[in-house]
Amino acid sequence: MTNKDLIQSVSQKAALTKQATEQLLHHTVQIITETLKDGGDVKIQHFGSLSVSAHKARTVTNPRNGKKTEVPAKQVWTFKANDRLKNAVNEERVESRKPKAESTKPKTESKKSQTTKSK
Amino acid sequence: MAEHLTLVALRRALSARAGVSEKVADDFLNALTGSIQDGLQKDGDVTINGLGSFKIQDVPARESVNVTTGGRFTIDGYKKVVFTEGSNQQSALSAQRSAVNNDIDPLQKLGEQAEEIKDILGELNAMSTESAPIQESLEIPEPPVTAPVAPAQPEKPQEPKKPQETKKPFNPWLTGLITIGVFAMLLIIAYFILRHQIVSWADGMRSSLEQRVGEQPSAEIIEAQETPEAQEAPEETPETPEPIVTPAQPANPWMDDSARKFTEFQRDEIVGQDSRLAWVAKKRYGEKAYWVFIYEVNRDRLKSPDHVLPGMQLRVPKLPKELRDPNDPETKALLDRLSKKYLNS
Repeated sequence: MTNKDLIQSVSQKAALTKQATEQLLHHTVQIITETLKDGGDVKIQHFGSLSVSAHKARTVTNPRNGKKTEVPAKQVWTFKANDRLKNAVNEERVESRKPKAESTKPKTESKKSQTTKSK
Repeated sequence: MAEHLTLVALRRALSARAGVSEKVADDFLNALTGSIQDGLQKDGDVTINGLGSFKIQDVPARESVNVTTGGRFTIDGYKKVVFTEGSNQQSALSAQRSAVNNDIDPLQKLGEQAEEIKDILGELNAMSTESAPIQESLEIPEPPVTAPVAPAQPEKPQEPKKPQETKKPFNPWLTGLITIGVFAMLLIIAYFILRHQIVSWADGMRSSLEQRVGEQPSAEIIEAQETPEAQEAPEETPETPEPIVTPAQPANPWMDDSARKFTEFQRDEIVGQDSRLAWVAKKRYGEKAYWVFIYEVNRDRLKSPDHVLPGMQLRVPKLPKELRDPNDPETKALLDRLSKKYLNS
């Protein structure tokens, strides 16, 4: 999914124009990058968290010619998916059935209970 | 910015920045996370410009051992959401860090310089008592120790000139020492480079002259005697002995131990995976031993005969008539000598 597809999908879901969506996305990205650059982390409910982890400088050997090269220290953004996103990604097929099953079950139960009550 | 940005804080910041109501911002953020989730489920890959990309990575099932019982069991495979930051984010982060480093370095340098200047001024004070009050006034910008005798106003215009004068007696020493050191280094390097060239040239000369002496012993002995002279005088520029080289060349320039000058080339060879010079030679000339000529032509790219990396473009020379027969004893001897020479170098 490219940036373009994402904007289209979001604009449909949130009932916004594409231009407005694009602008809002731009601002969101800006806010997130500013927070991360200041060393903070971003936690979004039902989605996951973005944080910065520092990687130390290390020496790496090229297995082909045995040369040692220095990899400089750097800061890397890491994303940790929330349980809900994890489940959604892992059980995409199961989940698409599950909510229906869950939503239908209580209804039937309630109907039954109603019927029993009425009886 | 807040150190810990939650969804609520993000919604507020977004509504403030974009000038929309919090409800719209909330709808947008919900739609955004939902769309990313949908995208991950559908394509397994979502890219956001300016931020980075989310991808799904398959973690395969693996076997593990229960530590307490020692029984084997499998851990189910699962899908993992991986985030890769965009290239511009990485460069922005590294630029930020390097900017911080640059800020520190000049400060440290300035501090060191200030200390050096202080030392120099202290020495000057000890040496000449007359100039002391003027130099103390120079220290005004760093420590507030000033000479109360010297009024500030008349001396101020002189201040910018004085530091140059105080530096002058000391800088020549430093610069002199540095230049002498650099000059000595250059001489040593030049000596080593030239020595190598001259020795290799002298070797070539000797071998060619020896061949000629073998052919016409009586006439060429005198010239052969000249070779030690050429060897003994390595400081001479290689231009002067050249006239002696030219008569030696017609004997057989291709059999020389020093590098040949190939003028005609076949098409270039692009080195494949795990290839070697010998394999290229076998492919082009039908004889592995000819790799030495390919090496000679490509010495500017190859540090050593073994330093052949895939993807390299190598020039392949056209062989002259004299070298084409690999069974010729002279050619064989030359190839042996060259391969020993290059493999040992």
